[in-house]
Amino acid sequence: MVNTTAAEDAARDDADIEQLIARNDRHGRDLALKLLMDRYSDRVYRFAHAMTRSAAAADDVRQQVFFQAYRDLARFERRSSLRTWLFAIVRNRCLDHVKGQRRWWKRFGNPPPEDPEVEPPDLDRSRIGEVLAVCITKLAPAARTAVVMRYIEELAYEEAAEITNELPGTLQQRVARALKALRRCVSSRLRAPVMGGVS
Amino acid sequence: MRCERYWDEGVLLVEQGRPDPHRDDCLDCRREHEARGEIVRAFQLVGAQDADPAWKRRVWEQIERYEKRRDTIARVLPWGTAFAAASALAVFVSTQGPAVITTAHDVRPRYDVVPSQVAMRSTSAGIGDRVRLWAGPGQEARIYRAEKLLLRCTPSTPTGTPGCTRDDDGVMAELVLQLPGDYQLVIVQPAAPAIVEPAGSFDGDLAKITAGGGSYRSFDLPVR
Repeated sequence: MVNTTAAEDAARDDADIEQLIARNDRHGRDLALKLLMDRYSDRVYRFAHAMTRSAAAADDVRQQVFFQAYRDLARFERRSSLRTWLFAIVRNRCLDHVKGQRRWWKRFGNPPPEDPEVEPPDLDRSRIGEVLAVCITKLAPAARTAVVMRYIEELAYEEAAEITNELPGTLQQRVARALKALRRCVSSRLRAPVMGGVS
Repeated sequence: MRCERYWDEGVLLVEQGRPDPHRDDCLDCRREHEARGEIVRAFQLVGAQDADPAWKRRVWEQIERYEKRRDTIARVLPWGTAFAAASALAVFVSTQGPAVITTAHDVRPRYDVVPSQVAMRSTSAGIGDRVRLWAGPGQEARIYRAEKLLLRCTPSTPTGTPGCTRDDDGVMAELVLQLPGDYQLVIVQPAAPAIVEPAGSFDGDLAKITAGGGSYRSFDLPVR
């Protein structure tokens, strides 16, 4: 049995797109982007939504990501897999958004008016996914990115480390701390001794 | 007394893929490990309904505009000699760039960005800043975000309309930048005497202007 890393698997899966990029013409770029969008749009959207907790923002981020991907395709140098390269763009655009929101909060003390979805959902035990989504947005941007990459995108730590330009061990520690914070947040929002029977 | 070790040490061992012998003998840690598993499983419940099926079209439209700009630049810039390239660049910069965004009071169209905290003007923008867009006589000023019309000021906009100011030299549109994203600032020169009514979407509106015999200039303003 041959062992491959997640990054190697991704690189093999996207070989067709890389061939189109290598043509270095408009038609090749168009086809490459079309395949990229077909293959990754849902994942990009899910990542952005988990990071921003806003459908409008996730939509915006996704549009920016694929436009930037198109614009920068010619500069893709295969130093990482295409997926890693794309998710580095996603991460940066999401962090831009999150930081922008934080600046707004800092200056004006309340959330931007066009983003109603940051309101907490009903505190219903059956809605743990929704509560968790809110709790994720309470994490610091770096922790949020790490945990979303690991447990929503299900990236290996090595691949996530390549995207964030950090060490896998650093991300493991960050995710461990984030899980602790999430456990506390989810429990308090559900207002009951939940999960594992211990509050 | 309850064992607190799991969230301080045990969870990291799990993330590192290493064994945790302590957990086997500790009921508290086993319970907390189950709680962690429930959170991890709940990540798959974090919903994300795809809100806008038209997003791909918007990406392609954005790309089309980008390619047109690139083509224009490629045509304007002669590649023959360094001198010619430098000259073309100078012409391009002087006609497309700083001249438009100068803060000189008598130049229109122009725009600037007023930061919310520091008393200085710039042409890069952040959340909470205000953008001001000046249009000349007979022109109208429009501000779009994510291709959607946010503000429109025309020569016939009534005095006192929020965000619109009129003076002898034209109109000024002023908007607080509330969300990150790409804003488009558009100066419309309608075909006299009719004003082309916008429908509210960037590309559709621009097409309508040119179809109606008018012209426009647009500036991209990324807000981060």
